Amino acid sequence: MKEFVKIAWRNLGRNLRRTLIITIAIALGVWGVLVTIAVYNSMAFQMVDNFIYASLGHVQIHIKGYTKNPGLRLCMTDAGEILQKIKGASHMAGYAPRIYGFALAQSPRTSQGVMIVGIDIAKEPTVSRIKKFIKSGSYFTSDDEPVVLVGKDLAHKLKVGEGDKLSFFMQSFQSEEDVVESFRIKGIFSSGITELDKMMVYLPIKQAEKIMEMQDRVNEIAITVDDEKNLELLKADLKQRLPEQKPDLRVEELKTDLDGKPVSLLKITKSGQDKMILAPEAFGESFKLNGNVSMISNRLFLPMAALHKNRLGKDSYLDLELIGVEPVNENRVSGIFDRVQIPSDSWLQGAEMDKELEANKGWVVLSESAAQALNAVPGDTVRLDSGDKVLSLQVAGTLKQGLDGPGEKPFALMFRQDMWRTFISQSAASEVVLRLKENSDARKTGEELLAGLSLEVKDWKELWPVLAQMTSIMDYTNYVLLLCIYIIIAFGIANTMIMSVFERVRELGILKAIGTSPRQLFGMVIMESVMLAMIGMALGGLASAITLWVWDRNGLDLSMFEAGLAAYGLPTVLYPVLTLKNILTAVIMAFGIAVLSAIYPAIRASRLLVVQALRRI
Amino acid sequence: MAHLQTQGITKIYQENDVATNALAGVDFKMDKGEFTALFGPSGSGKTTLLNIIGGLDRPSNGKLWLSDQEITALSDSQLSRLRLFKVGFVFQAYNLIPVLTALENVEYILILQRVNKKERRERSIKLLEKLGLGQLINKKPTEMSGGQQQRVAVARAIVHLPELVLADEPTANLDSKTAHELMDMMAKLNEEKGITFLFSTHDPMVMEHSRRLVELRDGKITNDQIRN
Repeated sequence: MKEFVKIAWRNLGRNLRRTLIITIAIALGVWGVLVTIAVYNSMAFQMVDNFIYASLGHVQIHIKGYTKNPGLRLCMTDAGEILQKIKGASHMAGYAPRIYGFALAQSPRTSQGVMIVGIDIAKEPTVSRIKKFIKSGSYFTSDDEPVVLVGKDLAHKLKVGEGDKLSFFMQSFQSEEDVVESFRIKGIFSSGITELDKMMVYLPIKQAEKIMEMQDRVNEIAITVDDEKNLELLKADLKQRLPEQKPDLRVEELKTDLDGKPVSLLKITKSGQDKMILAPEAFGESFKLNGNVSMISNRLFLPMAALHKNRLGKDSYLDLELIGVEPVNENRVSGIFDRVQIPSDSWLQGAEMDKELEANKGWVVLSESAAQALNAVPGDTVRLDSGDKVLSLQVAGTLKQGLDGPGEKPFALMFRQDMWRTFISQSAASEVVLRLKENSDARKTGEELLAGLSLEVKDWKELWPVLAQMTSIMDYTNYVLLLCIYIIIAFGIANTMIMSVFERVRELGILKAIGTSPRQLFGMVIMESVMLAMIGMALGGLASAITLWVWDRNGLDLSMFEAGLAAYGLPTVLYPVLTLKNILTAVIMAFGIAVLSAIYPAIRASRLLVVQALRRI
Repeated sequence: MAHLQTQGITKIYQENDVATNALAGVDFKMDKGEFTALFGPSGSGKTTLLNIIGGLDRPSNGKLWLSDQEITALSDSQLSRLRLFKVGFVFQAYNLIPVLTALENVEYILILQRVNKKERRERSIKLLEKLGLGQLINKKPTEMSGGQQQRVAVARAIVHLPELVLADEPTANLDSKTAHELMDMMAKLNEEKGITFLFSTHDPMVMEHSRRLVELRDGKITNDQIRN
């Protein structure tokens, strides 16, 4: 073996000029391939890096369905507990909770739809470069400041700058109506990613919680990993730490409506001691994502003392069950408001009861038994007293039957939002009733609804597949390029080896005559080719190493293409990125090509007819 | 049975529509230790016969045995092994491997035979020294004269102690003094080591050195005489 290597090696030295030309060609090829791959990789890497550290993070946690249907209300309702659970996850470099809400930003000159992001001012810089992106002004210094950071392009569009005031119209968690809030611009940021610079407005999470009513609720937790290669480990650990994060809910099927007709309803209640479902709006938002759900009603039950002073000044007192509902939703689920009886002179006469009651607050509908006990008729005012809170409401009508059918127990219906705001100060429901579309499988839907409340842990590739696809497209481009260059090299090597074999026919004939086997001759020619490739690769590798070293020290300044690069989220100075896999692929392919291109000449050499070869001069 | 025996060997070269009878039925025997010259005019079939005996070419017809082994029945790879272990070649144009030194050229056969490094080196150097090439062992063929190259070629042909050395006009490219020395050397090897030599030649000096002369004409043996 060694001797054949020696012969092959010395053969290369026989036609030094030819050997030199082909090795330089291989070297240039390898150099070109490695440097080009490094440029492509650099672009892909920087692009991904920029997206990840601009806002994406490596991993995000949401409630199921959020990524497809983002919305303020589709949120994690016990953020504090979740954050506590993920703390200390292995390979986690940083984590930050975020609240996302759509808003209309209004400047003195114009208005623009924006995305408001409430960020934890201390934690956010551990997952994103927001602090470094600030081009004018400064980052938040306190949670209590009513200030925002605005993207460069957005500021430009709204014609505002640092220190100016912006008004925002946005929805809050609880109310359907817009809230309006003004903030001063503390800083203008430029992430280099057009989408973000055009859309984003950051404000301290405390401020977002306050105006959007999101206490202990977040839409997203962004997480960064210490090293990209540990991503799967981190994800696995997070998933383990957040096992089926879903509240203790129970689903029950209701098969008939108030008239006893068959119907498909699901009732969701909370089991356990604390039977109140807090922030049912968040669950409702998740339930709505299920295609079988047609309507949702939140019902809040509270025992209450009701007082009525009749026209004669006589007080009547009754313990009843106060039920809070949203009239339109409730009516579509149960039809109860179609059953409210009103006197002929009522202001509700001729109106659609549910819509009218939804628009006018301050009413109460009493069960007939309650009305009798209280001696109250529509138009009278009833005082509801929980012990420490009191609410006076006007009786709008009466009902013969309750939500669970005809019952003896006295009750009163009122607007749920007023009820919780007065008596329990946070949104809650005792039960959530859902009307399902016809022919849906109630049991299966119920299971799906509960499963839908769990959390999902997704990495950036799942969150932004386009980005992942672009990097794999870059990979393919690399391989195609590699292949093109190597095919050219292959012909160069093949040509050299064919020449070399034909020049030495006689010599190879002698080798064969004195006992060298065809296999050994074949191997010798292949060996020569591999050596050519090795020298070429060594030279090319050296040239690449020098090029990349210089590049790495100085960076590749592409500021003349700034606008184009920014569209892809790329910085103007690129640094080379070359993976071991890239290098190995280049090397292995070069060897493969060297062997393949020498096969034909090698076969020719091994099949030489000695007598004919010896006759050659 | 003789050491080497041929039986009705013919070789017909077909070129276009013309068939040339290079050998037309050669029956020939040789015993171990012979020092024999095949002679005859150009085109009489000397080289062809030598090539067939050495397993480099196959006859069109006839059979050939070398030390009880029927060579004409061997496959290509078996022929390759036969050449490696039993036959040594000396060519008219020396045909050393140009990229190897004298020593490496001689060693090459032993490498193919997988002789260990120490032994093959010793054997090769000893032989080269014996043939008066001690000073040249690290020279490449291009740095040697024709006579020196041919002596290295002889060393290469006998280093593995083959049963038969075939030499195709070994002196054709040498001056008479060098040719004389080479023949003396081979005769000595024949005597000392008992190696069988078969030459093809039309050099009278070679014939003079040979103990048996076989004349070929038009592919047939026309004369076969033992010299005293």
